[in-house]
This record gives sequence, structure tokens and C-alpha cells, in this order.
Amino acid sequence: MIDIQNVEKYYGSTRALCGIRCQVSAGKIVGLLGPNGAGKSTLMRIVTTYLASSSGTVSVAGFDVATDPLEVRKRIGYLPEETPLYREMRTENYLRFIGQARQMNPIRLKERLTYVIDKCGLQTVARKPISNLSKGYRQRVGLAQALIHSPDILILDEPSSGLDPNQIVEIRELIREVGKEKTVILSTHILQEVTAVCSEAIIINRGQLVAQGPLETLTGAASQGSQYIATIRGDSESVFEAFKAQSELNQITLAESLGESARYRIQTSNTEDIGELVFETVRDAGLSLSELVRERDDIESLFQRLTTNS
Amino acid sequence: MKNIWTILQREFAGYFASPIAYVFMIVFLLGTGIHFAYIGDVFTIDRTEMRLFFETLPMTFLVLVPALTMRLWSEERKLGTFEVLMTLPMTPLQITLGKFTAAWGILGITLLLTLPIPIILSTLGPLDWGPIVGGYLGSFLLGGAYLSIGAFASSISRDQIIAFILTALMLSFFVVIGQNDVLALVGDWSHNLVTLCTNVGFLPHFDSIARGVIDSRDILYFLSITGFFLALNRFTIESHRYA
Repeated sequence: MIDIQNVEKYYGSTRALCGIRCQVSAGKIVGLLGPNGAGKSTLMRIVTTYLASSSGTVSVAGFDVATDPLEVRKRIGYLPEETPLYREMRTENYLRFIGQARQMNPIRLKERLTYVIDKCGLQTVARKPISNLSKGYRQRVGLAQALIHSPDILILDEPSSGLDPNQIVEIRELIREVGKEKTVILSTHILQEVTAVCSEAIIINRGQLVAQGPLETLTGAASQGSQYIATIRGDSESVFEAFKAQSELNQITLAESLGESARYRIQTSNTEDIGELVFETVRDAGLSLSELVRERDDIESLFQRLTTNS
Repeated sequence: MKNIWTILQREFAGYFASPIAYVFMIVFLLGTGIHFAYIGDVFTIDRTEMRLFFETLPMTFLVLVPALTMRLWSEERKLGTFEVLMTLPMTPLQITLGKFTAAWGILGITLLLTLPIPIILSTLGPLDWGPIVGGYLGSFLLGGAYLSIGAFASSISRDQIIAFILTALMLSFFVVIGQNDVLALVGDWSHNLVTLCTNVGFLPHFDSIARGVIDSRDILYFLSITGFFLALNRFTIESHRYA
């Protein structure tokens, strides 16, 4: 869907991007990660045709951003950083303006307007001037603006910045829903956001691509296996006995004793899901499992490792 | 064409959503009206004509037009809406023209609102409509040229006040080099320079249209100035991509 080849961008003599090369395939929600100033916004601006790259090529849905910018723009819905909006306009009028500017025919525009207002929860503020809206509502207006023409590709630059936890959950829900049928790229420096909504990640640091791929592969590569925390009720001798018998589960250690039950740490060397196996082992040994958690903080360690050295 | 119209509509509504359009119209109508009625002594001189009204326009526009164009681009840049605008499926030329025609529309409406003056005059005595039609046409064209310069100035500044001052300075240049005193002064040095100033300055072209002499060269002059600065404007917003 999006093909980025050797993209470089200079601002004067400062190099913001150096030789970025990556692909985003259709129907994925991709998180673009990187510390502040890594070049996330610059990369998004090049893909949306707002900025021209200094060298390299980008094609979106088969159209080159340099030679066919209008065709690219038609297929993209874009929410820039900080959600710029015309403050003096009313929500509905603003969305209608964007729809008209995107050459939608009036009947379709009317349908989509109702749809995005409903989807983004803007019913109560549809007739209010944007200047009167709270930050959360403005963010939703920005998202509605990006969705109005039902684009194949959605590019969101820090969609959840400045929102409160409830609003973040709502926005993520919306992105996940939209991502079922569209290609979404969202930039963020909040790592939980990536694990919460994205299936793939692209990590850049100081203008360079440092990692790209499905989340599982990336985090798997970082931790060389995964780790489970199981809380099991019963005598710890019999727990160890049952687990040592299974070759996949024999790396078990006691993490914390909690009286009648205890918390154990189970290390696996591969990335396959061993949840069911743990459950069956516990059941067959006549013990009871009260909690099983797969540790997923690997993305953070990956991010730190990739973006702090170099 | 439809894209230009979409931008025009939004800009037009934007003018009326802020006090700018109203302030522009009221100050313009009051200023020209008072000047014409009292300072111009229209009630005591024994002629029914609007020459004085049109003669003051280049100066009135000098102060008011920058107010109309200052926010055109600089506000978009400041709020970041420029980024949304430039990623819409439209060409930079369409956006430039949409914004320009919206401002030109406000100016046109304001000029139309002064029509009661010639209508009242025509009831007072015989009125020669030739110079009046020419005067209005000239004013509209002159306004267009002013606006294109203002729009360009706004496209190169992030701040409205700077856009205002820059516009006023550029307009002053074009007004001053065509003034008779200045022409007489440069005439002492070089005859070619006088020809150049007469051709480039606003006033020599405007005066002849305002006198009712509609010469295609004058019309072409104003359209060229407008076209030139709109092209520059289009160029600056496009060049932003290569920043």
C-alpha cells in the first residue's frame, strides 16, 4: 500500500531522515515509533505530500507522491500533529467544507457526514463553533475530518496527545474499529498505545529506521522467548514436580509465596503461546490456577535498546 | 473551478465570522463618504461628478486592503491549518485563486455599497455616467492588484502584523513611484526612469481609467500586476514543500 524507498530529507543542512526504506501493507494498523525529534512527523508529511523528500521515492497505492500528489491526497485521510482546525467554523460546517474540498458528491457527503458525526461521537457538538470545544472533542473532529471521504489510508500524527485516559481509550477504540478495513499509520511515543492498537511497528531514531515488522516478531526478537507469571494454589513441591515433567515448562522458578498459593515465573525459549499447556498441566496435577499473565513489556525494552545507544 | 469555489466560500464565511469584513466595509464607507461630502465640498461646488471620490481611493485602499489580506495565509501557517489545506486534493493555484477571489469579492461588495452616491448625485443634476462606470471598473481592478500584493505578502509571513506592514510598504512603493511629484523629481535624472515609473506605478494607469478613459492597456496593466503577484503567491506556498 505504501512503499518508502531510501527517503532522505534535509532541512537546510540538518538531516532529518536518512535513507528510510520500509513498506506498509494494506489493512494493517502500523505504529510509527521514535523519540521526540526522530523524524516521525517529517516522514508522515512526506507520505501525505505536504513535504517533498530531498531524495528517494514514496508511492502510495501505486501513485508516486512526487509526480501524482493529487491522486495520493485523494486516498489519504490525514490528521496532522496538534489537530489544526478552523476555530471559527462550526463542527458540521467544517466537516462539510472538508468533504466538498475532497470533491464528494452532495448525497454521499450527507451520508458520510451523518456517519462520521455518529462514529466520532460528535452529535452534541455538531452545531457548536470549534473554538468552544474541549481538546478531546477537537481531536475527534480532527479524526472525523480525516475519515469523511472514507480513505483507504489513514495517517494520524499523535492522535492521543493531550487527551485524558478515558478519551484515549475512546480514540483507540475508534482507531481499532477503523483499522479493520483501512490501512492506518499512527505515530506516537506512548508505547502502550502501540501494543494496544497496532499489529506492526516501525521504529525510527535520529532519522534512521531501526526496526520494522509485526509486533510479535519485534518483541520476540528482543526478548528471545517470553515470560509468564502464573499464580497457582497448592503445594509448591507438586507444582515443580508437574512442571518439570513438561519440557516446555521446565524453566519454572518461584517468584513470590502468597500463603496458600504462590506466584511462579515460567520462561520459554520460543514465542509460542503456552497458556493452554500451563492450564492443562495444573489441572492434571490436581492444582488450581488463579491467574496467568503473559508479560508483554518487551516493546519498552526494545524501544529503549534501539533508541538510546547509537 | 469547483475547488476554487469551495475555498472561496469558506474564506468568505471566514471574513464574516470575524469582524474584519464589517470593519473594512464600515471604515471604508464612512471614510470615503465623509471625505467626499465634506472635504470634497460636493454640496457647494456646482458640479455633479465623482472624480474626487475615485481620486482618494488609491490612498484609502493603501490603509484598508492590507487589513483584508493580512490573515489570508499567515493565519493558516500559524494555526497549522495550512497543513490540512495543502494535503487536500487541490492544486496550489486553485487554493490561491479561491482565497484571492474571496477577498476580491468583499472589496467588490464594498464598492457596490457606495452606489447610492452616484444615484443621489444623478437626482441633483445631469450626471455623466462614463467616468463613473470607468471609475468603478478602475477601482475594482486597482483593488484586485492591491489584494494580490497583500495575499503574496501574507504568504511569506507567519505573523499578521508583519503581513500588514509588508503589504502597506509594497503598496506604497507602487503608489509613490507613479505620483506626479516623484515623476518630476526623477525626470531631472533620467527620462527613461520616468517612463518606467509611469508604466509601473499605479496612479498613472488608475487616473486615466478614473477619468472615464477605458484603455485596454490600463486594464491589461492591472491584470498583469494581479497575475504576477498571484503567481508569486502560488510559488511561495508550493515552495513550502521543499523547505
